[in-house]
Amino acid sequence: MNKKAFKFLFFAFCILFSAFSVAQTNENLMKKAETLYNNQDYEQALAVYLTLESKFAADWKLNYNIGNTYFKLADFPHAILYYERAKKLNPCDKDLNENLKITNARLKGETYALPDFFVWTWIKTISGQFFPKTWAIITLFILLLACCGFYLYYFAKQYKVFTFYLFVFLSILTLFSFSMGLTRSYLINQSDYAVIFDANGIIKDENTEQTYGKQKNIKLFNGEKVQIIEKQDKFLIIETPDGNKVKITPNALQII
Amino acid sequence: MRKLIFILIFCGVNLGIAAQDIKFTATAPQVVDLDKRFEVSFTINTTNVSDFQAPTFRGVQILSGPNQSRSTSMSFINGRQTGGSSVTFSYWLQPIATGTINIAPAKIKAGGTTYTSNALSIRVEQNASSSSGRQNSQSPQGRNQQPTQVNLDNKTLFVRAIPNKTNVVPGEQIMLTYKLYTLVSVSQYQIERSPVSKSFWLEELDAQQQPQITKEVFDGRQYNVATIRKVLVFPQQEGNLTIEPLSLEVTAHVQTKRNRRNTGDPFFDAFFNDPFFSSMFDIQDQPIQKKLVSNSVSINVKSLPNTPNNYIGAVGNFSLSSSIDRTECKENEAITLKYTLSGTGNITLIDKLPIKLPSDFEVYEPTITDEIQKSENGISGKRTFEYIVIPRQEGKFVIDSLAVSFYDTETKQFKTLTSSKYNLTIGKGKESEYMSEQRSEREKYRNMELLPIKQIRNLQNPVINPFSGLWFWLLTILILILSSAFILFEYQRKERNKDIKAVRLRKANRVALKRLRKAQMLLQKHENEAFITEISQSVWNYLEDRFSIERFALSKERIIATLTSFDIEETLINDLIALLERCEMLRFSSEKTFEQNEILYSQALTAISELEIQLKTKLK
Repeated sequence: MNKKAFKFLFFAFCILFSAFSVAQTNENLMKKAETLYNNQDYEQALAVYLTLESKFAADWKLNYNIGNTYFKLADFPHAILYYERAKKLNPCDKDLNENLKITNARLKGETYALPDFFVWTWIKTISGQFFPKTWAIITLFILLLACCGFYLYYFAKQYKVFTFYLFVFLSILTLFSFSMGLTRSYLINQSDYAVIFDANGIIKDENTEQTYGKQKNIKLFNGEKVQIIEKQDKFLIIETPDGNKVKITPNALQII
Repeated sequence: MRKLIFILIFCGVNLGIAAQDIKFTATAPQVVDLDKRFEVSFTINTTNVSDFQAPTFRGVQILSGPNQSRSTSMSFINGRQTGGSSVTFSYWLQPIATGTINIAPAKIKAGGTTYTSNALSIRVEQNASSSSGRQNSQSPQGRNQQPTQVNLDNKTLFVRAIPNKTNVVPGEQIMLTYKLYTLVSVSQYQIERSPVSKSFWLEELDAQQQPQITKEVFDGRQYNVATIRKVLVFPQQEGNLTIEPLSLEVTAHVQTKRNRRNTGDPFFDAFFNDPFFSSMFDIQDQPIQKKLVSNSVSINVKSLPNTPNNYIGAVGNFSLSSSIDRTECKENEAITLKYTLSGTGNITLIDKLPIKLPSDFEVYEPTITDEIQKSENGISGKRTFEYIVIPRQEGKFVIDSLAVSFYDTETKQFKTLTSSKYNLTIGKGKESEYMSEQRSEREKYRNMELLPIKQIRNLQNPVINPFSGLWFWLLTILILILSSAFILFEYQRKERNKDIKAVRLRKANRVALKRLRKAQMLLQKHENEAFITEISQSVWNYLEDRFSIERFALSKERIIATLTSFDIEETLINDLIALLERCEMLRFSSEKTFEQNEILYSQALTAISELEIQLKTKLK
């Protein structure tokens, strides 16, 4: 309900403030890309999508469609990159997660991701339900309710205890939704994850092995999602999903 | 002033250099003729490039390309060196049908970044050159000098296709050389259409920019001969195959006498019509364009006798090597297995090896890397097949040596290549629940179809961090201020109401006190009998006055009825009645204490004031 209201507001703002003609050409481009994709002309579709991406990099549906197009062109690492970008923006879309799994299954290599701490998984799932802006609106709405709760409690003659707990509950809920929104925008803003594009970009280095433990035969594969632990000008230290740490050249990956 | 301009120009140049960034552009004519070839070029203004990825050309036939050329422009302005270098990849294309050709962007890597060129759209028309000013870069003579069509003799200028052998087996490479024989000077040539056939695989050898001219005697005449094209041909079928002729457009130069036009100026004409000058100027080098067609080449492809089962289609001379990165590992860990096929022959046509692995092993499609050189001796180099193998079971396994056969063209027989055999020891892996879960999920998704794209109604970049936005905090403060203002307002209203109540209570108390003043006096004098009578009397009097009831009509029932009609609380009514009854009872009782009387007095006081308050609110 709230999301719809927000969408409506946003749409109204769009009409008021954006150049209508520009929106129109983008719409045409989108339709063109869709037609090209449906006609299986994936290279052309990709070209159109990529021109749109230069302007709307944060539109998750666009990233999803680019992922699909790369998949059809059998460029699975790029497909992973764009699906992951879409997932960062909207982690709970069913189709997106499905396609990401399908693409992952086609990569030339496999890794077994260590499961996350379950609380962190919950937080990610809950915060992923809404966009940051929606969280902000929800926070404001619950804050308003909490204020009403305080009013009820303060002036109540009967049910004083009940209204007090109602007020406390609503206050906690406000803080909760605020922190969920903050988490969400942090998760979108961070650039700690990357996709490997050159599996041979590992730098052999004694020092790194000393710091992070000697691990024999660490193998990366193109399209693997890794976490960046340390950033330097000439190298990066990454952690693979199964917990190995490797030194790698910055050219070998692209940040999600 | 001059100085100023100088400075401005100087600054402008500097800005120009500073603003130069890497651009990757694709160029092609907008409109082309159906039966004319055209050039599409991709230019990047830097030289440190790698990984040029050409788009797939649809609706055209590639005549040649990618032809890579580098150019450097350099100029000195005010002692400073400016300029840049660029790399161009160009293709010569031949349209197949009229319509529009869309050429997707090409990609290139430069300095770690991937650049994408612009997409092109080319219209193919039946007679484009007449309808639009197409630039034909291949005829430098241009429109000013219309080349005269003179039929040159077929023995003066011709093209021959010369194969180095005509009896081959499928897959054996044939070197096909196209030579241009001429008695006149030729300034330019352009291959119009090169043969394409499904029964052949063609590998173009890199053409030299300037073909070397040699002298050769053919049919009793000495010709200037230029080798214009070399192609490696790999037949894909058996039987008598014909390679279609190559067609060529040539600009030849024939020396003719000029047919001078008179300018109308007698002096000028007389001067240049002088025999001395005519010998110098009248012989003109006249360009002539001519289409040439080479001979077709027929090749006899014999079938191979008794092909062995492990024949992989390789013809030439090869060797096989293999390597493995480890022979001991745990379950579900990846092993890299490499087979390298090296040698001379149709190596680029071999795209898979018949490897056999134990059934508990999973193998991915191989990654193929090439190191191939093309030369006059044929294609040589090596092709590496990199297999990623994942053992799923613990135990000891053997990867059998791979045996593949090829046909040796030298000895004319099959030869078998064998690679090493590997003994693998697979240990028990740390198989956790999450691993098997993830693996079965992978298996489930491996062959699933992709879900369709999303329909996007309006593109938008969502607000990523609204919590740092002003509107969020403004709204928060607004909500807090409004709520506190509301609460404060409500609080004050209540306070005011409380005041009104207090006033009323005071008034009611005053009434009650006035009524009970005499009783109070009697109480202090300890006159019990009189006190109780007075209390009772006061209450009765009060009720009589308050409700304007005649004294004789006054009874307990009447009081109850009246008070109920005024909506007085039942407890208060009961209290009042109980008080009256108590007075009556005490009047005739012997035990009378001061404390009892005091309670009685306060009861009467509260009853009257309470009644007073309730009546005030109800009457309002």
